[in-house]
Amino acid sequence: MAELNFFQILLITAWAFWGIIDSLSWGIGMNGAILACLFTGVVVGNPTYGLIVGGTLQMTQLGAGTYGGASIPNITSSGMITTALGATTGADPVTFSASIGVALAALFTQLDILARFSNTAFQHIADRYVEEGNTKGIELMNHLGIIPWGLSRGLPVFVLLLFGQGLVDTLMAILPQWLMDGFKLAGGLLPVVGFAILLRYLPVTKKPQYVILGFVLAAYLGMATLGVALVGLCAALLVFQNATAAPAAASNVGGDDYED
Amino acid sequence: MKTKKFTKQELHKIHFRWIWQSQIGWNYERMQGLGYLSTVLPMIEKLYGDNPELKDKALKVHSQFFNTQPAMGDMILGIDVAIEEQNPTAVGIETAAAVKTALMGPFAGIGDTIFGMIAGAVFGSIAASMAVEGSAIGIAIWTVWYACVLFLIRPRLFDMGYTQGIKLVTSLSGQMNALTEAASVLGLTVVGAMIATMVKFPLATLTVKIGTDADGSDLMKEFPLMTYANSIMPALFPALLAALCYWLLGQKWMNSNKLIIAVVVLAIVLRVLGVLA
Repeated sequence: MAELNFFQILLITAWAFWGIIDSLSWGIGMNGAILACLFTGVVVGNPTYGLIVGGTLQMTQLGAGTYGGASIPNITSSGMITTALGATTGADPVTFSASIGVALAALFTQLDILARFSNTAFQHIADRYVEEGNTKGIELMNHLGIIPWGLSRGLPVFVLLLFGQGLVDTLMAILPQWLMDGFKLAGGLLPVVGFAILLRYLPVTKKPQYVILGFVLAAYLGMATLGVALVGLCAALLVFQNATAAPAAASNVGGDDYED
Repeated sequence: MKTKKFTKQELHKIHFRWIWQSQIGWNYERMQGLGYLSTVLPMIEKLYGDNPELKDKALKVHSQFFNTQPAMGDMILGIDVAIEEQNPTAVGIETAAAVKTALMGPFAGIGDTIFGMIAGAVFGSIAASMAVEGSAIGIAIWTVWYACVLFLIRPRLFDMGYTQGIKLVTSLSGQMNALTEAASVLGLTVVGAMIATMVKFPLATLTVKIGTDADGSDLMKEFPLMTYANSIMPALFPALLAALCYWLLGQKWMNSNKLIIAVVVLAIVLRVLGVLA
């Protein structure tokens, strides 16, 4: 199988490094698993492979975010590594995502924590500059945060793309078929985790009827996602109109309605 | 005291600084506090540059802990600039600090729901379901949404905050709650559909020996589990599994990483047992 060349590794690493910075600032989606994996797929010459890996991993994290500074599994870095190594090894993308992809994503959570922790050092220096009224220094310290952030994504991608190929080849050779089949099935089951996380954030106990509505439209009537989303939009508009028409009632349901 | 008004250009520059700088220095101690301070440095320089005492106070006050959803932070920043521009005194600085502290929590709740969960669920599931089929159309749609947020929604949020100032909080609270509620309804509907279509639970057909034939050969019977499950309800097991995972995530000892591993193990075990094909 083809080996990654150094230029490819650098390109993918640069995207990983800048992707997290983008998600912290402009937010044009570079750090999304699907787009990052698609880019990786293009670099290694197999865009479809990237799309499948990105899609499979994205489904484990739908609507999940780093709310309040929480760390979540890093499916972006792991997806890029999975795509690059998998496409060159020729492993099945879903099997590979549910095994290596999922494992690496969980492992990389620690690096996110490390980056957020490292930046406290710059905060302390900035505090000194506040005392001195050194505004240039404050701005510099804020920007230095880019380094831990970027490295927390770029470094693991770089290292694993450089040295991971042999490891992956060995793993793929020794793993028994039943285990590989199990991982492939896991790829199909894993989206359930994404939905469960999402339901935890949404007021599902207060408004279960809409989950049922969406389920029935899809399961019984076979409606496509976009169609269901449009029906959901109609329901959302109705709710919005009702709530704004009766502001007194609306203010009663605010706040704690979404905490549970 | 002479009034110092911000030009449109200066306002856009400050907003631009927030978009870029709000989180690059994020840390556990002050979270977006450093980013906020760095963002408003030009404002501090313009309003208090000729008054060392006030400048010192402003630098200290704005370096306090701050954390909110960045797009909703646009609005808070706009309100802050409006307050301090109208009242560039110690009182003004303290009012702005109080408003920041009061708004960051509730605004984060609204922003996380709309920009994080609902947008992530709706665009993410469309993009993911198309991506696994090898199509990039879904991710293109999602990227367009990101561009809309950056170029259309966020400038609007900042302008609203700046032009309406603190009045905005009272006039908007009802609408914001309605918007969050409506967005949740959309999210719930989509998730319901996604559970049915995207969770793949391919039950096997079991072939079991139920006795011995007259000629001594095994009498086999096939049990098409999928047909049985579908006769009760389509997507029965995805629905049950979703309910189970939802419940598990509510337990103190569970988190998303553990749940993912549990689901992978479940898939392998069911495959080995031959229940899933």
